Amino acid sequence: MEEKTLISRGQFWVIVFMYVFANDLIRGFYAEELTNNLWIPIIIGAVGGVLIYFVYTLLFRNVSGIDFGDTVTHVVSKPVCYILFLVYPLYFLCLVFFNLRDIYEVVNIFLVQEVKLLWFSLLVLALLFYLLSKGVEVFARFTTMLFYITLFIFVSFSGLIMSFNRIHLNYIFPILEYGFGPVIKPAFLMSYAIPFGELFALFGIYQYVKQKDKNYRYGVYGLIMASVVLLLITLMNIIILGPVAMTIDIHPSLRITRRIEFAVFVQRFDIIVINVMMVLIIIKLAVLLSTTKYMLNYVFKLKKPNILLIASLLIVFGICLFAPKNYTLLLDFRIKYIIRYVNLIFEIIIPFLLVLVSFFRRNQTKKQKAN
Amino acid sequence: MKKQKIYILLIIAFGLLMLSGCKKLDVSEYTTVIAMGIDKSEKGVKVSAQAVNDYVLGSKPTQSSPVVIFSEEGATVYDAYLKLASFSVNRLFIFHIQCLVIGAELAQEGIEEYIEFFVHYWETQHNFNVVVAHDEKAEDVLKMRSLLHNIPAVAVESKLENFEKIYGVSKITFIDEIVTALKLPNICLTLSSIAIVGDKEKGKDNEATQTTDPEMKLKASTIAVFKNDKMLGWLSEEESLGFRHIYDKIEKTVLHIEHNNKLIYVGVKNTSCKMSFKLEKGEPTIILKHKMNVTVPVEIAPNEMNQIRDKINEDLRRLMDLAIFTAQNKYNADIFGFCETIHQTNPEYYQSIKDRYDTVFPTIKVRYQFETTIDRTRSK
Amino acid sequence: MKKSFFQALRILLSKPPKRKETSENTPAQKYIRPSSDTEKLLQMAEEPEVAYLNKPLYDSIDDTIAYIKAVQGNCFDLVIRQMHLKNAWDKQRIAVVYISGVSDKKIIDESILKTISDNYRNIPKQDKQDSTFDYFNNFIMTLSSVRNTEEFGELFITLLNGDVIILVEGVKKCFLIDAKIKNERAIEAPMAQVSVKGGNEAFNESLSTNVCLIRRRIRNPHFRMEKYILGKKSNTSVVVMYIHGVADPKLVKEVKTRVEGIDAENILDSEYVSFYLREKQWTMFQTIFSTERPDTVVASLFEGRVAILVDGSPFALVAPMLFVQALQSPEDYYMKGYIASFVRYTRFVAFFVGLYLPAIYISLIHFHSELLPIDLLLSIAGQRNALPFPGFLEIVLIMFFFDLLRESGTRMPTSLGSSLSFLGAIIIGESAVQAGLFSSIIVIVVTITAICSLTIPDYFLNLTLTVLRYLFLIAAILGGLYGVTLASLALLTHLCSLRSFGFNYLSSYAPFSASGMEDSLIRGKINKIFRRNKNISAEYPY
Repeated sequence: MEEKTLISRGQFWVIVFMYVFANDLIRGFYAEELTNNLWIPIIIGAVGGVLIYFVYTLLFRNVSGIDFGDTVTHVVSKPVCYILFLVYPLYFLCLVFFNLRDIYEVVNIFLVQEVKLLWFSLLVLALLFYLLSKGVEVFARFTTMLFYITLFIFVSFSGLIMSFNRIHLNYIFPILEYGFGPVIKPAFLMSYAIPFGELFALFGIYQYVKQKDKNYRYGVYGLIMASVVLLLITLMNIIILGPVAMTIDIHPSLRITRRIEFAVFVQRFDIIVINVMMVLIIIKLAVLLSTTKYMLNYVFKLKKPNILLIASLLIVFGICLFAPKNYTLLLDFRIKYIIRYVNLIFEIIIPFLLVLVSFFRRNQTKKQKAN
Repeated sequence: MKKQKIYILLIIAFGLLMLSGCKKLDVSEYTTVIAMGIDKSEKGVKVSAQAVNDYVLGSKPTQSSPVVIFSEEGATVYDAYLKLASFSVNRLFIFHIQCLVIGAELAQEGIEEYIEFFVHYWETQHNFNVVVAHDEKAEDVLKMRSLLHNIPAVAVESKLENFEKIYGVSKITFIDEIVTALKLPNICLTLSSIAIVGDKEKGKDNEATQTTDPEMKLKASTIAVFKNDKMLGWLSEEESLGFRHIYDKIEKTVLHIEHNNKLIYVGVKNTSCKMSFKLEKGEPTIILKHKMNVTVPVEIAPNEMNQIRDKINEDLRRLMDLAIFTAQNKYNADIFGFCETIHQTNPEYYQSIKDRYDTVFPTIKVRYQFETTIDRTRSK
Repeated sequence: MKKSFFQALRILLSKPPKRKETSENTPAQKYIRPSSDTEKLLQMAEEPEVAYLNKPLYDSIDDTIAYIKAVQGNCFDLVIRQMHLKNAWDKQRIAVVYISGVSDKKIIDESILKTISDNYRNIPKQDKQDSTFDYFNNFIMTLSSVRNTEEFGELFITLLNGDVIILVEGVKKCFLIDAKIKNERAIEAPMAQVSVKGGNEAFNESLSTNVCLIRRRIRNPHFRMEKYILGKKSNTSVVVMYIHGVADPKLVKEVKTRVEGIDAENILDSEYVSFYLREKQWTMFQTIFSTERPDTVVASLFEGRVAILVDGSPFALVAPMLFVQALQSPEDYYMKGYIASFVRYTRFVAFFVGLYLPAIYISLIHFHSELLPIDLLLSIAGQRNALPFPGFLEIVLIMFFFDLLRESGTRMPTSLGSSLSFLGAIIIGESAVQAGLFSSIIVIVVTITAICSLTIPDYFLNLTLTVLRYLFLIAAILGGLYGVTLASLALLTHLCSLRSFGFNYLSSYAPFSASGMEDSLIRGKINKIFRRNKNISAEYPY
């Protein structure tokens, strides 16, 4: 890592915020089971996500390596680190594929009907290649610029939605009609999977932040702000649509945006919301891909790491070619296996093990220094 | 680095070129459908579409009609909708659909299967109005020409909106509300209706638009009561007004009181009503808290204010009682949403009565709390 | 024989080395006319072009003059006057060489020659030959700007700049006396960046006038101006200006290194200089700011930037440039802050409208007709019914037509009047609509686009937008709003990766700096604008 590629803590905050906000797309997962109690697991999930993030940062605080790769090598030995750094990219590419498929579904249904998956993914992946080949700093600036636009759209649309829809505040009740039971499991799943999970990829970006020891809190701030935003969106959905209409389709926020219609031109704004979602997903994919590229480069140590980027993009494209085209099957597969097991392993088990071992290693190094 | 950029550009260009293989239709290459209607027929359902004749609209006003009606029968709505393509020159697009008219016969049979299409179809805006044709077929309603606006569907929509705001009888219902009402148990749907006044046959001609007193007019009418997706009947005007006072917010309406042996109108503005539920001595009671601002156009002495207010409340109470009485006894349909209020305040009690709600509903007592503010009275 | 420019400059500007006197330079020999060997001289003239740079002067005047004539050819405006100066002890032959177009004959006749000939009489007796020259050099006070040189390089450059050369027989040095004539355009109002309330002076093509315009506004002794001569064939003077202590020293060093490293054949305009100075990145956006107003340059200098003036060009360059500058106009600083902020917002909006409007129009009509209100949709559909061209072809044609109009309007001779002005374009558009070629809405769309993009103060960004508009239009035709989104993301990436002299092009927007915002989206208070330092003298990345 050269001295040049340093991003400030404000930019890291923005990147975390956009990364978590992008998961808005798939909130409709749990709407069937918990209709008007959907906001409770979001709060619990957010708290869980923050805790998990804190545990991750312990790794960096115990072992102060310059690089992410150096840190992990220090904790576990080199061969194990290499194995990890070969396995994680596969997991990340899997996530990339799922997110790409999500946004393709939305675009296909609502925006441009005749887009085929292959060409859509080709264009998005080409854009990602262009974006990532410029480096992390450009990506950070890019995200900051888009943050202004996203925030402006979010605030103004929330205002418009609340003014032009009938609000039924009593849709929130009854709270926890069936007790805490049905809420716990989705809350737990939310904290390490979507929407507040998949945070491990952010450490590919975290290593570039200036003064890492003091600035780890900014990730938490980004996480908290994103969870507040998601909570607000969920509450708006519940208040306006009610428990039944929320489950009609998987993106309820599009439904309420569609209802804004006042002056002549202000109508059908869900198209803008879809564009914003696409931008957010592109940012999330960029973070995942840049971490992939960094990890593979650490293992293979090439002069021109862009080749690795092209390779990973081709792998994603290949998955798009050969994966089943049925979206419901994919969703099912995702909920049953990916979220339950794969995410658990890669987001909780392995990082927690790393952190535990880092405690021992830290003590060892301290002892060595003392001796 | 430069080479890679060229590759990217080539890929993007190629990809974009491939995208262009899809058919893109220009605005003038499809026909906009403004209103749709569904009716009952032997095969299943008859779908009518009111399409705009934009060939006429662009150029100077001519004699020909600006809208055209197509109808086609099919087993389901989607089937019939696709078959409509046999009538039209271009593809039909239902983005801008303003209202959906349900024929009276179909409403009595049950609308759930036919509504499904409009709920999920992505092309629509989901904020169109759903109405029932008052003892008519939807097709006939769509065929009526209107004097006040070029395109009848827009006229219909505006009439409904107007009537909702000005007098308060109509009700704008979006499709989400219908889904909610159909899915939740015990709650009953209500829809506004459109009636045809006058001679149906003469309304289709051009002559209808060229006189001052056309033979037929479309009129926004009272509210239809559904139960389990079948229409049971209509409410009268007073009952509809009372229903709206309870269920919704009204912008402007009127009440009548007697003062000095004269019938005076009282202008009412901005009503709102909150429902809450209490179990009083084992009996379910709904407490309705009603707020409104009134303007009384006669001079009233300050010590008469309370009297006048009581009279106004009496009139209002009469309307609301009528509505509740009809709903509880004639139709046995919970159109006000009492069950949801019970569910939200007292879930356990609701669980116990959920299955036998039909027997419980007529016994629900209602108590009123009025908060009427007299804004202005006429002064010397 | 290619010597590097840097060496050449060093030699020119340093003290000439002492040359040994040969035996031929005896006093008697100065009266002997040397052989005019034309062939030998012609051979000399055919040497490679810059051979004259380091060539020492000849002893005899005739040889020098012959060499000058050989290099310059038969220039009819080269005036050579040979005179004899006589005083009680000595007789000297001198030659006065000047170019009549650029040197002021009046100054030469009245001041220079008169001074020399008058004062020669009073010279006391000198011992050596050269001491007469030194006497002239040191004691003649009535001529203020006198230099001397021993090489042909400096001789030619000053001769061509307008100075008078006085060659002295037998001496290998010559006098260079300033006698430039001012033959330039008067100081007029600027063409592109006109301001209502502020001053309205613009640079003109003469370097000395431009420098003087800036000098008048900065009375700071730390104000540095350093002159370079660039261009092997054109020998253009280029001046680098900065205020020592305010400008970031690393930035100044970087600019100077880049200017010194320019290895060009000719420098005709400031655009040539900016071509060599800017970073080697492929972009359509300007990374060096050019302006023709001295007050803008002065304000930039006070902010810590470095300015570059090129002789012969009325546009000054200011380095580094940030994207916000393209949307700033000098008028903003002469108004109240709130009003200026509002005007800036309108410019910002106009920038986006000028970029996106045709693309959005096409995507609304073809792909997402749901976004249009129902009445507008029906009226557009009615208009477009009987038209021959499909939607995208129509708008490409009419945009191209408007661009052609703009170009022809620039080249229109004024004798034809402003018949093809903007309003004329709209009238032509209306006739096209009535003929049934286009729909009226397209004319409105393209007119609004053109008006909005002309609102941008920086004319060059306007031209960039013209190109970008087509690209966005193509993206919209192929992909609707989704294509426009992807294209704007690509453009944003491109903008984020641009650097201007090491600074990020989008500096005040991202990374966010509150003090940088004082002058970008809003126009903050005047005292705050100059006090902030974060934009320019922040950590310099080099």
